[in-house]
Amino acid sequence: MRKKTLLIITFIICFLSTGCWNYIGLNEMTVVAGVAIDKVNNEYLLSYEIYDLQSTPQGYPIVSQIVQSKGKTIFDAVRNAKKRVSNKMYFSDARIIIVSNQIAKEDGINSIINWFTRDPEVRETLQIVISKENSALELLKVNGLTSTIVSNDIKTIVEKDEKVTSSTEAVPIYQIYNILSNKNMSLTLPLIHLVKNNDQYVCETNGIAVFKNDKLIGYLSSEESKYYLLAKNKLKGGIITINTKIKTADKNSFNISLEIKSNSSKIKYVSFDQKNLKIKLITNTEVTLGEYKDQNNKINDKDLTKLEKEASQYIKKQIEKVIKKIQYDFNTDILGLKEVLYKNNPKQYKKLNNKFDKLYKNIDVEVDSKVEIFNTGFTR
Amino acid sequence: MNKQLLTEKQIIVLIILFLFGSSVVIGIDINSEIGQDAWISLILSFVFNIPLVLIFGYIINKFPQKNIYQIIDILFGKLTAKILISLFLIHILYLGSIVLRNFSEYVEITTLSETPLLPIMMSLILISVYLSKSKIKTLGIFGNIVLAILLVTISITLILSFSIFKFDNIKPILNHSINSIFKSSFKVFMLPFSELIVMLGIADLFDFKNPSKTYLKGIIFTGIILDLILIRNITVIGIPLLKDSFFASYQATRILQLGEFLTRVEGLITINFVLAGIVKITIFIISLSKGVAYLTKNKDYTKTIFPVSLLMLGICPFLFDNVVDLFDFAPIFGIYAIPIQVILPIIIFLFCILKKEKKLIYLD
Amino acid sequence: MLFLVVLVMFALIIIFDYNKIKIKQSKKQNIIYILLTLSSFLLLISYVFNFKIPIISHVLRKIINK
Repeated sequence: MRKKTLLIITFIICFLSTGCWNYIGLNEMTVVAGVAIDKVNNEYLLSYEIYDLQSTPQGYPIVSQIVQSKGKTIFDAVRNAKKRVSNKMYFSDARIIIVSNQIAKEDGINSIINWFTRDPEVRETLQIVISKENSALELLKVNGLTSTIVSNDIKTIVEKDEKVTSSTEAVPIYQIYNILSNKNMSLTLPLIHLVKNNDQYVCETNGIAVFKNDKLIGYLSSEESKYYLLAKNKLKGGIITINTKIKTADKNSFNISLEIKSNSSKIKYVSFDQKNLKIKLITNTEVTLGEYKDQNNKINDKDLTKLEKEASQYIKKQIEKVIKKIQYDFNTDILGLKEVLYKNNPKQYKKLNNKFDKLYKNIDVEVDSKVEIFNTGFTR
Repeated sequence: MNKQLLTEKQIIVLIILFLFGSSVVIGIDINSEIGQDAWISLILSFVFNIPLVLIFGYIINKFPQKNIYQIIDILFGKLTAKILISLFLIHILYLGSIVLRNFSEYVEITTLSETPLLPIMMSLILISVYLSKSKIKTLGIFGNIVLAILLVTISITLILSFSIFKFDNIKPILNHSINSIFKSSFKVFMLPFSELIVMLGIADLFDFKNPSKTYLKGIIFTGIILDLILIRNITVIGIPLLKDSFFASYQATRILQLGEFLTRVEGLITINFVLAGIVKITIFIISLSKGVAYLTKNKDYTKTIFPVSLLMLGICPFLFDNVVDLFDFAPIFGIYAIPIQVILPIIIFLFCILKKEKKLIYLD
Repeated sequence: MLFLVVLVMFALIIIFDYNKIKIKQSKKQNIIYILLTLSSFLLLISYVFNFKIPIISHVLRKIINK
């Protein structure tokens, strides 16, 4: 008798505990692929690109839809979206956040990322990109070239970029949090703009957005970003094009492409006296000769050595140019010189910490580049 | 070689799981100033732990097959024994509720955000109660399985994180003052490591051959694994995020991925933590009910399990107002726990030696 | 409301357990058993109805903050 009553009790408990509080079926959530953040009339305007599971016919790749919502804070806007969509937004699969450059210039990134770092649903590997167009929404409206969902496209382009073209830098949100809290380095974010491709507009990376504290102050072009990444040891691939002549008998100079196989750079602190901080930057790049236009002249070993020297000089000059631009035009430490000092010479860091911002313009960076050409492909 | 008791290997397993249970709280010393040197303070803290563990081993050696309540009973007078044991029990009750609350908060924040706290706590307690009511061998075998799962998961996450290691995050090494490193290692020593005294409460179920060696093996193994996990956390998620985030391991494993398909590994480590937590709460419950059984002169500790665990569940929701409270309270608790967790074993140890000498003098 | 139902279930389980073991225990042990169970129930019910009871941690914190 007792066992029976216990069994009945257990059954009742089981029935009452079904419908777990946290149970959300796939048809009860709206999966967000990417978010674009703009500011209109002092309110945040969020545009979400959602996976549209209803209007996709079976067997077709998934179509996306754009949903918009407004709110005084980011979280407010996210919840307000529920007024238009039947299900709550599900952010676990979100790939990117596109921020308009107005918000980045005026309010700064700190005002935006707070919700994304606190919410348990949002993943830490989210990428943030800045839109060079007038609003962030325009980037979401276009179709992706390789996939129907633009957010996936942008994320893959930005992430794989460092190995292929090295024109921009991918910074997932947890690194942004670290950089902004640490204050030993300034933030850089990838920049995306629209470009016409065969009568259609598509998204394309366009260099790097440079920040001071957390506000946007300028841009580096794709070429400049390449040398910036070289200096920062984040370059893993890419092409360097030099306009030069290899043979002394050449009358004209040609465009030569060198494909970067690998690169390692080191920033070393040299000395500090009174007002001048000296830093040495050593880069070591291994390349292959990708394209050389002159069919008539064949290349031999001496030519390659000469080309190496020219390439080294070229890289050195370009890096120096970019560093000067960063120092004078932007005056913000995106190279992470302060951080290198902190990690390798903590005692010097303590002495210089307070004066670093004033010193930054006058830091004497000595660049020493070395290029090694490994092979020239199939033919001479 | 009584088959009803736990073998040496199972004891080591239980020690590892017991210490592991708290690694949820250890982002190690979250509000500290030492960021990248946290791994050094972890090594220091468990060096501090070694003498304490040797004391435990000595005490158990003197009184084989007896748990701490019986030992205190033998060593002290009736009244002193009752007072000491009551204080000890109140402490374990409080500590056990904190552990329970810890795990429920972890489950609630990371995965089940809509579920109120009470059902999570009730579920955890129910499993622990069932586990404690069964024979002790069940706990041993359960511990074996859980440890196997734990080790496999940890190796997977460690290997996956090799590609994302930023070894630079560990630099500059030893930049912090020795003072702050010592302070931090003291806090870590107090919170998970010296809780081992709770295991003394069930010592009569252990079949020890060489208790000091067993304890040492347990804590060295845990120390190495916890340190590796800490280094992984520092290198993967970086120092500012490590300091501000409540559950560093969880965030670190969210970043891991192998290609496009092996992502979302964080589910595995949630399972890890909850399983280790269940073992830890079970040990607390058994220890506590043995104590209450001793006080009420009950011969069978299984009779007192239910009320004791309900009491633990009862005070659990009132302990802290919110999660920030929980994490801020950890260092304060370290100081509050010194009398019971550190001084009490030393007192018992001294009495052990003194009584032995007294006996010798008497014989002479 | 759900909590109350679950608490009632808990109560029933405890009553069964108690009936099984009260014969084997002395009076004193039975009293302690009932005391402990009742106090924990009181605590749980007061939590469900949102009464807050300060426990050691609050007191400790106040002392240390001073």
